Amino acid sequence: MDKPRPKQIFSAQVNGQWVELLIAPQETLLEVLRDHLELTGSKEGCGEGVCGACTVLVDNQPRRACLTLALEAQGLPVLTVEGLAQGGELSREQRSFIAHGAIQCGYCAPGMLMATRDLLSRQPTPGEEAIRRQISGHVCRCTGYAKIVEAVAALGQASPGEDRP
Amino acid sequence: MSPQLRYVGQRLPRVDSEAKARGAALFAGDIRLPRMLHAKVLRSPHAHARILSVDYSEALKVPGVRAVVSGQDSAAVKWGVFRYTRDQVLLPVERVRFLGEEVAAIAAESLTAAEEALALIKVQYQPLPVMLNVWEAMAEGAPLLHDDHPHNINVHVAINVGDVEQGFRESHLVREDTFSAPEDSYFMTEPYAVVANPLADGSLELWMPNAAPHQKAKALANALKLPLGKVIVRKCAIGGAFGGRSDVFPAEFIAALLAIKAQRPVRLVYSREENSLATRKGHGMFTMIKTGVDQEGRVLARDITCYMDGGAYSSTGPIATSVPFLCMEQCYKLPNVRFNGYRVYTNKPIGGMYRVHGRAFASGVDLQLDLLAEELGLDPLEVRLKNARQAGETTPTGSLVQSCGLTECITKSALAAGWRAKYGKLPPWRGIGLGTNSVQTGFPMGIRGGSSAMVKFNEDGQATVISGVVDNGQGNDHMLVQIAAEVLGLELGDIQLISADTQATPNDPGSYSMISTLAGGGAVKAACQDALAQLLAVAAPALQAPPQDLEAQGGQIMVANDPDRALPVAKAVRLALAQGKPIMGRGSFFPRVDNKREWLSNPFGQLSETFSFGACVAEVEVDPTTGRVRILNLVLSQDCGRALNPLIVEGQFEGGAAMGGVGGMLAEEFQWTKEGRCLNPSFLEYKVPLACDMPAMANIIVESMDQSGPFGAKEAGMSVAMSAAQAIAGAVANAIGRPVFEYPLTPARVLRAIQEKLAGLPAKGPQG
Amino acid sequence: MSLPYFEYLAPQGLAEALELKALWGQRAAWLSGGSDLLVRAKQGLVSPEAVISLKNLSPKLSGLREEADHLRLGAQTTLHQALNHPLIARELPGLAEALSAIGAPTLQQRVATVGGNLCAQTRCLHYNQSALWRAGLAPCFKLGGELCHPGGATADRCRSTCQSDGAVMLTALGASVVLQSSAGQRALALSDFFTGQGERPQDLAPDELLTHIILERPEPGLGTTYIKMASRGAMDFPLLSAGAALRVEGGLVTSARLALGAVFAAPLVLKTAMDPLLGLPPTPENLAQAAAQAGRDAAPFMIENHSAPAAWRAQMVPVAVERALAKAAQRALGGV
Repeated sequence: MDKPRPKQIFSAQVNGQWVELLIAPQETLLEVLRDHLELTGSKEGCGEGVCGACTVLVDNQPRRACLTLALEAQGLPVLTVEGLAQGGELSREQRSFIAHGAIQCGYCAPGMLMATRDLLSRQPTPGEEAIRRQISGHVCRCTGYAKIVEAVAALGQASPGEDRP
Repeated sequence: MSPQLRYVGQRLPRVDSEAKARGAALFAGDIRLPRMLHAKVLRSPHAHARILSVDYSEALKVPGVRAVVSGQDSAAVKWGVFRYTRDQVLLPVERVRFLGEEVAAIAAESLTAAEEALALIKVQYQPLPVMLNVWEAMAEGAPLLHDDHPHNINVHVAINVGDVEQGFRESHLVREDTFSAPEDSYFMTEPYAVVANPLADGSLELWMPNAAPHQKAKALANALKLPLGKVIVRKCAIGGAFGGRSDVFPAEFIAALLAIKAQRPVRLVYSREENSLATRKGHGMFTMIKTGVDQEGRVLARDITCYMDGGAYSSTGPIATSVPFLCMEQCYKLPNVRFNGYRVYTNKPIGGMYRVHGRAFASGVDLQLDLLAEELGLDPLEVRLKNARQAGETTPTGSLVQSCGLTECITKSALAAGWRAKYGKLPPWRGIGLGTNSVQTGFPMGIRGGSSAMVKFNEDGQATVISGVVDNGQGNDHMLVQIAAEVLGLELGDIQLISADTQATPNDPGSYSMISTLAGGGAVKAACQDALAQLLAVAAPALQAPPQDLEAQGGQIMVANDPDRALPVAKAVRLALAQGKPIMGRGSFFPRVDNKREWLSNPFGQLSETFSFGACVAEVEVDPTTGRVRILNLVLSQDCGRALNPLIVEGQFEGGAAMGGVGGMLAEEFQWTKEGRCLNPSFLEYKVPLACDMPAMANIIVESMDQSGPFGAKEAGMSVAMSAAQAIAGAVANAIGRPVFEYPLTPARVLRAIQEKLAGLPAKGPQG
Repeated sequence: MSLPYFEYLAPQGLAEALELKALWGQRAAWLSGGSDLLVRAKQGLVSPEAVISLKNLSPKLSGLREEADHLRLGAQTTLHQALNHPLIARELPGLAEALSAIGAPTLQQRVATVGGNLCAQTRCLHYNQSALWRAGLAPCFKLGGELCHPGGATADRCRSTCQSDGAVMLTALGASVVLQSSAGQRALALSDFFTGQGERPQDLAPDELLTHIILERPEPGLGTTYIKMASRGAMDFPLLSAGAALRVEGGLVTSARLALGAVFAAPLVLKTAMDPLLGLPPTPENLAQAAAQAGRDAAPFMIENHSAPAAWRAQMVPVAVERALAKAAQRALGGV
């Protein structure tokens, strides 16, 4: 190292808890979550924003944590898959994914679940096309997506195939 | 056993889902140990070069670097799946044979330090001529990648059954076509990762995504010259395998060397690109198929020559070369058949087994049958049915097929898809196609071919199942727990599972080759039956009834037909303990296969105890202006013996159709530069299907109730992956009125075929 | 994949941001949505000493303002915001099609900005690769070298292409951009903003920031559309794309603008192919003729720098153009 590389203080409300850490400025949110906070639920599948496995909600907006500098989330609420369950109780997205067999290897599940939370917060009864569109930024290599679509559709009480406004 | 099944056949959520939904399941790259170091690998920038020198002295000076290894540290340990295919030096000393091959590695306090130090390792290479396809590699005078393999032929599988020439002479019609496809790739969502932890007693713990913990441990023990018990492969969550994590990689060897050298835990996490290039990829293939049929479309003779681009090393070479042929001979009656499979060394990453292994083989076989049927004026569906394998028959290489629901798969899929109403009657540019296939449930693996299991009871009446079966994501953990709960009459939640941990679990062949349910599930079933017999024996005096009149249900042991006379399992367990006879069940399942069968020297005899069969019908629409194919519908069916859990079986079908059919037949292929660089090692440029690309899918589960499988189960999912590819190839040919011989069916390839047809040019296969 | 070290600066306002950029110049990179910059930084294609985050500027630099004779779109408007603006959804369907074709809805469209999309680097299958991939390979023009890998021995310049969906459509719409620095501001038509040089695709000085996009107000009779050809239904960059803006008055074409994406380092404006349409009715025959000419005009640009073969992409130019023109004409005549 030829010159000093100052660190910066990162502070954010992660899964409801305020955290304060000293981080390198170029660290991604994914690195901070996984390496500093040991929240390893968010996964790195590609590191370049394509697979969607690292998706978290920053200020209620889905972000690819692998392409988000942690400092961009400074002071903001961050929700990861670990924060979905409340008081040990699984969230409805988690329950539906489990019940519908939407999780096989499970590597894409954290990102898919966050995409589902985001979709339902904006569109409570999405139809199949809206669901497929929403999760089309997330790669699943196991399921062929059918059971994931069913799991999300069940939450909106819309059955796959019928698109609701 | 309970007369009524409570779990088998039920749509049950998987026992491993909750941890995964919570983000609590630990994959190898999630594991962090105290004082853990971070590793990075230096890779060859040349597809073929001599290593003149490796100098890592400067790298050692970087603050935080704790260990460096290169070929000099590895004693040139060679790996190969078979004794006769040990051709890969796990850390090369003299020569690198593909771009991305491991040359050296560093473990440091931080990834940044490791990366910084990596740049300071000086390697001198002398570039050598690069061969990037089988024709270059087999050409006269081509340099040899491995000196003991003339013409760079790694493996030659030769099978000749009956009299093929006589069969052709007797044929009414003979066709000869060539099919090809470049490499495909696994793209499991989890990139490869290894954690190695040296323990104070000299043993080494490892975590990595794998398809066979016991085989990994054995190979590493050999490579590291440690007793087998000192190499402990632990269980972790695994983000997919699809055949790509079946054998041993330099990654675990390197992590182990670094960990031993530094005497610290080491974690090595691959990037997506490293996962694509430095684990395994599919084989590129050229398949020449000649088939003769009689007037009714019965195949009388077939002769296949297949050239597979195997990449730099052998890996599972003899198996990979054989499997496409074996799938075919299981699926179709073939009185006379000849196969010459050549796996050829090239300067590409290593070819491995893939869930859709041989799209240019299986799709060629089926498409050619369609073409023969057309020439004979027959419906391809009828031709399939005439040639379809039946239970009780023996394959050309001598495997008895004890259960077979192929005809049912074909007829049910065709019915559901409306075949008779559609074939030949669809509007222009719409087409329908049928694919059928069969896969094995395991191979002869000698002493490692069977699975064993144990079950112990806890004082509270709950049971712990101990099995070597590994779960790559397909649901094996659930399968084992469900079988145990069924046999023991317990709730799913009463079963604890210890699995895929070589320190604790007995041997298992691994979850490749679709053997887990048959062998692993069979072993757990046997162990539970053993434990149950012990329980009933203890309970019998207490219940004043002979053991054969007792059954276990809902945590109770009860007298059949007299539910008032019952004893809680917990009480029986405690009774047994009081008598000094703790309940400990053990069981094993060794498939009845011919262990004298050998891939190259003796490819005859019983291959697997049983086989699964599948059929798929695809309907497509082709845009004649762009060549783009849209799949309208897929009907998926498979004889899986019995669906232990239809929810899981359907997931296997749908996932298989996405990988083999939609991705494998329409879009997925590696592209290369002339220097051997893979142009699309990334999720962006390798076109794995997305949710918006998937068609409607219908699942048809066919149950032949296999006599050997646990509760009749065989395997689920792989036949579908393959038959979906075949069906789509047929449907596209049907839609455009001409076969396409090169896969995947990208718009460019399909459009070229359409334009050649419109120009009146003959349909031609790829030129070697 | 980790990022190399850089400083992170998050100015509170535009003036501070521009001062910082003037100070750092080329050593600093603007950070907007990050999906272009950070991937390239991870791959070692770019190594800024600092990134200047625009997150605090977003409120001021986002949103669509309708002014007397034009529309003023803040460069920090996210794709999602733009897509949900009624005016864009209603009157500029071509722009909506282009923006919704970028990335995937959950992710890029929520974070990526219209300005960021315009400032995205040109792409090439041989350039957008990792350091491992490039090791042992001579640097190409775009990396400061003297050759183009897909272009071969005769190539005298970078042959990377503009694969920004937004850039292609906005060029077809005749948009211009406002570039601001601490020294002042200038407006530049997109056709000038995009230099056509893969090595430096945008005319953006090291101290400048793209703050606004200026669009003509959609006039009656304007029909717009965007056709994207890509391998998959989401995530992919185009293998070829066509943005069309056609104005039809009294049954005759009075304005015809068309730009192609993924062909050239800038959106390729096909003026000679479109001009003959002026004054003609937008009949299928007339549109087909223009499309055929577009195919001839674009052919020389086609080389093997994409994952689909150049020959197929060349054949697709008239197809995409004809489809784009037909849809635009239909919309110009009041259809949807």
